[in-house]
Amino acid sequence: MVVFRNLILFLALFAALSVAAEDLGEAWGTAEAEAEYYPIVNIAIPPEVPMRPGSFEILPDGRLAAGTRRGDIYFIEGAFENPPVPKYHLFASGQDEIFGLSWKDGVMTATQFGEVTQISDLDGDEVADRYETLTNNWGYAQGHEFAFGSKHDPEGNIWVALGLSGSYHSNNLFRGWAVKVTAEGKMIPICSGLRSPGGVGPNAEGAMFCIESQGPWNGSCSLKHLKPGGFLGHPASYNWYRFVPGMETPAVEPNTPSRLQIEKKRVEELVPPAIRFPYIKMGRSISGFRLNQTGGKFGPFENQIFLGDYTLSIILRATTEQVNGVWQGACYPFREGLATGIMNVEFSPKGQLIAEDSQQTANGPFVARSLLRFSESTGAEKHPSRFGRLRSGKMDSILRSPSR
Amino acid sequence: MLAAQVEVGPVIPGLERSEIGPQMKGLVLLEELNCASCHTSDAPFANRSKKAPQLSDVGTRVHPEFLESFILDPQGTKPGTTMPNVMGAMNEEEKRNTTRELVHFLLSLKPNHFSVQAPDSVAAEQGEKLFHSRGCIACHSPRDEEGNELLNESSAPLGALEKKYSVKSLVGFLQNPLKVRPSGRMPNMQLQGREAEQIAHYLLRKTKVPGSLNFTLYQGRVWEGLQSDSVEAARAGLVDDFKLESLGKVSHQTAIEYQGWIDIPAQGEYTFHLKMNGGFLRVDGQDIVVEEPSNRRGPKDFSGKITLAKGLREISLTYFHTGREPSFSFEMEGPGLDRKPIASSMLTSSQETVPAFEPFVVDQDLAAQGRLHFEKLGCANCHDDVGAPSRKRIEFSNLRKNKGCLSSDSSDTPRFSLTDTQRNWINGALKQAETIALDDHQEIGKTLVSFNCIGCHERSGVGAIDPARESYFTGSKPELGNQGRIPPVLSHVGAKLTPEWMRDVLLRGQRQRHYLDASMPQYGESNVGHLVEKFGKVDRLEDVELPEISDILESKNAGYEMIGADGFSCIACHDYNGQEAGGAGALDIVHVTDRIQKNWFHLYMRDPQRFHSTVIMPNYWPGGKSVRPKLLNGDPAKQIEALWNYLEDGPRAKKPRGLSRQSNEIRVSDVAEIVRGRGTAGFRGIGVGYPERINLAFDSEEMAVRLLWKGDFASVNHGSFRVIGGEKITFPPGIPFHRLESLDDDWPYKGETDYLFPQDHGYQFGGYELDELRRPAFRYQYGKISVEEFFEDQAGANDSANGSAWFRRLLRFDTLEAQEMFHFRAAAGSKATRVSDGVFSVDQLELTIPTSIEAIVRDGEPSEILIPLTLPAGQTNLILEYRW
Repeated sequence: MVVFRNLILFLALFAALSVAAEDLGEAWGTAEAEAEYYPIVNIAIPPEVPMRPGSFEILPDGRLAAGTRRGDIYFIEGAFENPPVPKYHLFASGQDEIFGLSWKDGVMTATQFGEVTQISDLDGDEVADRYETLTNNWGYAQGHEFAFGSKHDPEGNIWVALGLSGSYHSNNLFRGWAVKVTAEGKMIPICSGLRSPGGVGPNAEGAMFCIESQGPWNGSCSLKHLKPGGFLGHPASYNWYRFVPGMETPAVEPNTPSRLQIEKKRVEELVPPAIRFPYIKMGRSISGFRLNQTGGKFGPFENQIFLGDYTLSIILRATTEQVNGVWQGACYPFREGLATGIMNVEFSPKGQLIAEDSQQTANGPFVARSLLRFSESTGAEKHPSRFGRLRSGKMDSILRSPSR
Repeated sequence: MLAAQVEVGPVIPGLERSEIGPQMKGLVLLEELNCASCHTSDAPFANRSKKAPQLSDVGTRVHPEFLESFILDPQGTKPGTTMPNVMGAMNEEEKRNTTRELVHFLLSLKPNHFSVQAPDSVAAEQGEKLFHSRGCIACHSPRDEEGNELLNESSAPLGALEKKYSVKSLVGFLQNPLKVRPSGRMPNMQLQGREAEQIAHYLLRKTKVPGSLNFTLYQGRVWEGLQSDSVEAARAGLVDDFKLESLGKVSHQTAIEYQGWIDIPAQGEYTFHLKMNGGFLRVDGQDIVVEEPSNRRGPKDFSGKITLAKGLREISLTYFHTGREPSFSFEMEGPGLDRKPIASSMLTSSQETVPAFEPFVVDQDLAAQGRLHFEKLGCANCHDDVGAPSRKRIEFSNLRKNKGCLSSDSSDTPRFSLTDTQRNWINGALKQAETIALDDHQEIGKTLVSFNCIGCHERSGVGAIDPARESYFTGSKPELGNQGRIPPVLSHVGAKLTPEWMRDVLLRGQRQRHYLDASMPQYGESNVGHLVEKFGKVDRLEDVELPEISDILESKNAGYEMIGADGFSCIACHDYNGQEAGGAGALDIVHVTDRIQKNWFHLYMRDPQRFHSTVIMPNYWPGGKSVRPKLLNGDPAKQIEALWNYLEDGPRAKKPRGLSRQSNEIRVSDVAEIVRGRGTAGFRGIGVGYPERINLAFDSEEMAVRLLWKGDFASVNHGSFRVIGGEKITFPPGIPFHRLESLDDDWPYKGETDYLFPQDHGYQFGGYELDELRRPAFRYQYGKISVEEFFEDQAGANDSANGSAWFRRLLRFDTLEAQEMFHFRAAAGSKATRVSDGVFSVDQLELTIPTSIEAIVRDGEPSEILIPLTLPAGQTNLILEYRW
């Protein structure tokens, strides 16, 4: 008679280890220390409001705007008071999932799966009545084809990153590309090679980046520079060059298995990621990000990028620098102790970082009380000298010597 | 020799506890025991008497052995039954022979399809909850975990159901009990989905069926172990062998627990071979293979040996169908046995021998004898559906107290095992039964007791829920307190509900309080239909003086202000138009004016406590003073009237402020609603629900209408929407405008690889703008033409099921220069025809176009109506009408 005792023991041990490694919400065990410097404040969401935002914007009058995955846009007054006294106003509704909001000249520009839409209120009752399509000229015919939009760039363009049709294929026009949509509604393809992008936005120098998720051709999440004419690593989107006047399909396809640094020597157009986020240790599904230009209100991390993670319940930060014309950078843990479901982040005029996470309830994930929160810097102001000692071990040294 | 009698007396649940007088109780018993079936009477009560079960199908419904023992000794087999023993005067052998012949007779009436099914313990677990929560326990006894009845003396008896029914026959009975028992004492419990099946498995869980193996099948994240919260038992029962196919389709992420006994033919060493992801095999008390499952690996081979003695040895296997490309094989080898799967013939699910059910074979001679007994014994008097003649006895008017059936010791009359109390009630009612004229109060009381309405509903003067059963009433909205779990009180109900709504609830299975776990049973119109009128006659409350409303719009607006978040915030607790309230989940008020009488509404709003002592509904006019004194001068009557006037618009009323948006279903109120995303109209679909309860889906990729439908609008799940209503008109893919070079050319649509379509045909979508009713005007470019399309919902003339509203479609073309002729595809489907001048039909759709236009009807796939258009410079309008 044979009994497989050893194997069971090994498996059990393995299981225990892997669970520990993936314990969400306790990524670094630093939440307590961080709370002293960056306390998290809940902004209440009334039960009648289905929140789950995919994007945020700050209105000129200081209100928070949130575009939701249900396709609504809420204007929220009083969210940044401490304690918050939020009042929710439904500005627009009935759209597809909104993953990009940008307010300009009295018009809200929303990026949704199928198009970029300019939403405005004509009769002054603060409820939108015009939904003008700026462009819908990219292909959208499969379920996974996400679209993430930027804020307006200084020229008034919206940059949109278009996910592939799943992980491996680009079956519809410009899937896997980043495009730029002008104020006149002209769609200009910028670069190819994306897989499943998340947020899109600039760094402090105005170069545009987007977040890429791990998967085929991408060993971990990364921050990719949207270099005009560039190819960002996943060759499924090669098939659309023929629809781009003035661009040629790269002569060489990258090899696999190989390494991007090796392939870069072969594929001239290849732009390697500026930052690769160590998988699980720093991010598993990084979603949206925002540049901190709060003038020091958010502590010592001015001009750095803050990123949310959808599954790991953490906020990261990142810095970029250009070396020999190539953008590179570094990433750092910032704050843990949130719940999962962070799709995007935003800075308030008061220098608070806004995020929304979701608490899983007995009824299933994501349905009930979501938490809109902000985190604001207090400790940094109180104890600037201690700030570098937030963490122990290796991370400590990284924190002490930010690359910028 | 008489068989030992169990003196319980026939149980009429609720009768003893009811507050009706002894004479009324006697009258109830006369009807419940169907005395008039033997003792003819032309008094009204004779027609209302409870009929006995129909027997023509009894052979398919009931186990023949049960039938035999029940006829032989009704009260011994099912204590509390209303079925009398009619063989008291016979000796034991005569009884047995007569019974046997009766069974042959009853089973000869029709071909019998009775068979026994193994109980499913997983379904039974659900059934146990349902039996105790759906309301069964209002009449039948609740049971403890072992199945022992806890209140059997006051409950309608069930007897040992596993001896009587099969799962199949009990499900059939539960789904339509009135078919077998037309008098409705066992009502239709309105069981949904698998509920009847689950309750049947629960009530029959002691049924024994021979089999090879017991199994329980689990689904979910089974690799986490069967105790995981993410694993649920799906079904259980008996299976022939260890082959997966024997369980039907087994999906990925399943685990199966097998248990049984294997008949070892000879002592020796046996080897078991397994191929699987993970599992636990135990034979004769020893672990043979123990392998934890993993979702991350494929199947592996395992084997183990054990020495077994001859005879039955217990075997249990838990198999995990999970991981990569799961597959399963299980083989055994041993002395004289080659390595192969264990044959079904070697396995048994039980150590004891369980005999298989043997279908009953009818002997026609015995059946003929039985038929004679059936007549002679008077069975046919009550069971009147088998075509046997009845044999009436002494007329009702000649009945005497304590004689015949009513005597305590007669043996040659049917024995009901009446208790002394019951005998006294009947004795007391005997004389007046034929002459007494019951008033409406008494009629109501008698009906509410006969049907045990008071088992669930309190009504003053009649009765209330048995305190011993009260705790079984549960609900899904604990915030509502007792009102959230206990069915509503019936005192004043005739002054509260509109007759139409009462009819809907009582006779048409409608209900409003979905948070109550108990269902509203259906008793049949002929049995309880009279209650609607009688409640209305009897229940009177004082008339409220209704205020004069000079400005109805002002009144409705005030109602709107009060309902919403800035007023009384009714919607904080009450659902509204299918949108769940944030808090309590109190009943939906959008149709309240259809259900409630206006007078009662006024009385109730002024003082909710008057009608429910424990109500959590606040009083907004305490002491006659409004808590919102600024509205309508704070006049309570005018404010309540304003709420009524507002609510009278039903779902069409202006959507209250602060209404929850959490529900996935989007309801249309006074303005249009829009949803976008994948779904009915491609990936760039725009769904619009219009206030007139008609809807459309527009594909902003091809700028074409894809679907028209009526009734409810749509539900959303982020990124997608799904149509809810009905009467759908579907249009095939394709752009709206195109210049056909030849009428033989195909109409263009976007194929999978037409990446630049329809932009390459000159199209560019421009979005939409909403009018004051939030109805969209779609805008797009077709070449040098700017197009605006506006669908306007028009109220229909008459009221059909979903209304006869229709769409007026206004197309506005703007062009700087004149445009050559191009075609507009106004509709398409499988068959387009010209009906008359300007009127066309496409399948169910009727299309009206201006008679000045020569439209083309083009046959083909699809069949189309094409309108040739030539545009001058400037603006051109075209109006079409769509009816269906």
